[in-house]
Amino acid sequence: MKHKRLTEKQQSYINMIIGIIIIGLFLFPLYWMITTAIKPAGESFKTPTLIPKEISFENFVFKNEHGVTLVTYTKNSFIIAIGTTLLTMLLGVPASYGLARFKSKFNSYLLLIFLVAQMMPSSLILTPLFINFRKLSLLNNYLGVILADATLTIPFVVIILRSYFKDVPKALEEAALIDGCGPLRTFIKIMVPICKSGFVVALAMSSFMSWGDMVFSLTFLTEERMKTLSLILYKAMGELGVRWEILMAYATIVVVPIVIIFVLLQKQIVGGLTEGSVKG
Amino acid sequence: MKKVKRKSYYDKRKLIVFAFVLPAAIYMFLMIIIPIINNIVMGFQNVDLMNFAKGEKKFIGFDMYKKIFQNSTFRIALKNTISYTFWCLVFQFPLGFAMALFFSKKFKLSQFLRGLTVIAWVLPMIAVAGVFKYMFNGDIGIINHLLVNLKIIKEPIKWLAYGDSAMTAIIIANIWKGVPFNMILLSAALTTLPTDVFEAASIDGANTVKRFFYITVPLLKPAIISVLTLGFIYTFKVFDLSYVMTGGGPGSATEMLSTLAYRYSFSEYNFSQGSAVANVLFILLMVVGIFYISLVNKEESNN
Repeated sequence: MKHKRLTEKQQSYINMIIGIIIIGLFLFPLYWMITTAIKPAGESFKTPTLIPKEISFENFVFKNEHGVTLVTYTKNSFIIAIGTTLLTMLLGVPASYGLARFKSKFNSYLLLIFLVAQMMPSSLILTPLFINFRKLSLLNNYLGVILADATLTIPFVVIILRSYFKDVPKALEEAALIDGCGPLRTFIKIMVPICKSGFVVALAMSSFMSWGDMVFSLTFLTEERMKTLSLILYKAMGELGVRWEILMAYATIVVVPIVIIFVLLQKQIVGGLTEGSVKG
Repeated sequence: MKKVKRKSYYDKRKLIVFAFVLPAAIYMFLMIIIPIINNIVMGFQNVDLMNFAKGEKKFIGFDMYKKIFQNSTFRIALKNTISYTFWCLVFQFPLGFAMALFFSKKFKLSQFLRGLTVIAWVLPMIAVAGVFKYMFNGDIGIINHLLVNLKIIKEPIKWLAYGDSAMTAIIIANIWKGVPFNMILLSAALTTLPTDVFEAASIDGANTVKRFFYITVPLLKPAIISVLTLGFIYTFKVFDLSYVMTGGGPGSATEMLSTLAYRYSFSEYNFSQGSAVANVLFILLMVVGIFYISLVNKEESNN
């Protein structure tokens, strides 16, 4: 009965407050990571303080014993993430377009391979890739990790983008083609604007996935100057042990670019993921 | 005249479209198919660090599989992977569903707040593993601090030092990452539900619970099945969480099939043994995977 007395507007505000509390609690681990990183070293050891009393960036300038600075690791991560994203878009976009637009035996097998690849564990191909990369001297090489990371990103991107392209009426492109637009121009003029959020998701997710990969860099990068941020975060957990404020600073550097991009493009990313998943 | 032109136009298009998929097809062949075949072959051989350099590859039939199945660590890892996946799904699915239902209500910021949770899903596993390892730390972890202050526990627990509690910690970390995934897929399906059915039902006197079980769940069945299937696949193959948070320990208490495969190949350099474990993991995943693929194909032929 009590609920009946609330106006719709009041109910909406109550829901909003409940919603904010849920999300606040849910995102606590992220908050905890970042605040630990910006607290002075001593503060994390004492009774945990929810809100940092003092803000300090000393945890970010810590140098490790290998004589390699965070700048190098960050650079490596950027090269690998950008390289993987470029490769993924270069191969994935045309492939998803082809799969969406053209039915053939070959294409249905190819789609099956993409689906299997999306499901398989990385450990399935890890040992053969390691052995093959060793022969081709792709170990301790950006290209090796980029090629391997793309085994995660290309299937993901193809499956999402294909469902976008499939929903664009064929008549639109045919009209453009008949009007004398070449296939490439038709694609850029018609498909890219209509499937914008699909492209945003594809770009964002392939850079996030390759930026955060640990398994492949762990296996293929053994030279210190080649290592990535996420790999060094793992290594530091073994080497620094209890220096959690420094470890959380590393973790913060790993997550901050993703958090920023995500917040800026939230609408497209979430929308794209949902739409892509509904269409299957 | 017009007809002829149209035909040649489509023939030309066939070639163009083939050119579209070819580069990716070649990539997939070299980077996925060949390695999978290599891995299957290696499971029947005996490749380790000793004979790897010499290039001697002896075929040993199913001996490697006999060996791993007799190994108690493998059996523990198999059991762990199954129970880990089970408990993750048991919690993350209902939690994700509840959040999807809540945020499907129309209120201020509902879309934005729902979107924010997706951040957990896109964060790198390594960073998630790192922060949860910190939060579950026995000495300065915030979780112990909270539980002691709320008088739920008397003494701080060394979460990652004991088998069961270490497994619990890893499961909680995975649930955190899995909830948004469940929520977003179910939210998407919820928006497609026709509202008039619900109105009719509530006029007929069906309460919220009844409406949920008799209308929402049956209508969402396809989405629920695909969420559970995908959730199973993503959880079953997890590597980073256990590898980073506990290293499979204490003992083998949190060893998973994926971490065991890695350990055999890259800590013990028994490449064939690692390959064999990965093949078993793959076969188990494909049992559910084939079910998922048939779902996708069914949807495909409906369109």
